[in-house]
Amino acid sequence: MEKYYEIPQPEDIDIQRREQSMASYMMMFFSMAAGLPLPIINLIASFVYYSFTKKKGHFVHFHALQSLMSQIPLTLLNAYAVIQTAILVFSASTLPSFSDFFIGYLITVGIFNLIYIIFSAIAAVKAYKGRMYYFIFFGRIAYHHTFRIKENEVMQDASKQPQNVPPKM
Amino acid sequence: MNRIFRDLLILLATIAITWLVFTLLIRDNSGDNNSKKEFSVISEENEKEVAQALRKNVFSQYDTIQNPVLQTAIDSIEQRLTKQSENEYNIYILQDSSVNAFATLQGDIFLFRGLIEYTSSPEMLSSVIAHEMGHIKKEHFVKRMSRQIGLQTVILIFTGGDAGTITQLTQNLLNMRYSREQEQQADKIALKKLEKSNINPQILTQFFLKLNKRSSKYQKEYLDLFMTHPSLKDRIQAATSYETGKDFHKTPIDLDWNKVQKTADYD
Repeated sequence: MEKYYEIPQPEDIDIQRREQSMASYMMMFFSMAAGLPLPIINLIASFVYYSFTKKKGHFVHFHALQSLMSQIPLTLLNAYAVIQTAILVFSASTLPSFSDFFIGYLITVGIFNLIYIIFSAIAAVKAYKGRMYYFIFFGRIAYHHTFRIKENEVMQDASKQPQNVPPKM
Repeated sequence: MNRIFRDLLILLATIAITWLVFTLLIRDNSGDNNSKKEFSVISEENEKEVAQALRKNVFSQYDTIQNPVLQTAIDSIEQRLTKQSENEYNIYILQDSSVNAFATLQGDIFLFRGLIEYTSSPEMLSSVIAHEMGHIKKEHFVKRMSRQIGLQTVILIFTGGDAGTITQLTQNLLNMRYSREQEQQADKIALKKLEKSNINPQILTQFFLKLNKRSSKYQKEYLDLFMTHPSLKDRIQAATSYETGKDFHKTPIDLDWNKVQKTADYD
């Protein structure tokens, strides 16, 4: 049975941490717009942000990780859509023709982007209020990774020998 | 831990289903509707210019037949076929004995006199016209054209190339043939159109069979659009397997076909 750290309640989280958590979702909006021609920039930005927030406590760490992880599959889907479209448009010596499958794919990607933006906005608001918000699948993984008490951490605690010990009587 | 896998499955299934649903939706719509799947690099205005140049070229080679009996006959066929669509077609009849028809841009359809004499009923002619309308609906001419002369040339022409190049190129364009897929697509539209217009779609099969007979009779004498096509057999098969809806009922086209054919001949 895995052991987890206790989840901090809203009143335990200071405003700075709340803002940092919110920012991990908000970042996506800006970097997505900036990196549209090459939808990998948002991933890089998220990763950099994540590595900074790692040490800021479980709450911030959780939100940053959830945001980062959920962006990975979406970015891959977007990247394929953009690259394949570019190939079809620029390499074609004739008018580009899109297969039904590819158009279906493009629509699907569009819809999932929309859904993702909506859920990210909800998550950002919740994070600002000091609340947890779990995405499907990613929420559980992020929680597991950030709040789990790792074995070596426990071991360290146990091996810590107090320097000042009372004398043996 | 189990819930993580369950979540993953839900996520993947949602993506797959959404993808499948939209793919199927598009597939259904692309059969008959005017859905534009390909990017149009060509503006309406430029298309008009090229259509005009093509028309000019055709008319410089062939005389058009203009007699009232034939014209009303063609008009009534066109009306029958287009009663539910907004596309405007211009059907021209050319003075030539070859059994042929072709479609270009902007709804221009050219029929040869030979075709009118060859078809045994107005319904049969309307099946050919419906097929050509299918080419126009799917913009096959533009697609074919860009394959033939290269996309850049197409863009050049459509963005204001000079008249000389256009005349040179139009001749090549009029000789080009459609691909197997495009022919099949046009057949499919024609069959649907015929059914909607209360004409038995099997008339297209009959027309193909008639062509088939003819092509085996005169192996090399005629090199017509329909006969030279490699997949006539496939097309016959596809047309035969087309099933009409339950509420389909046949209404004959009220024309004295013999009289129409004769007037075409005399002119």
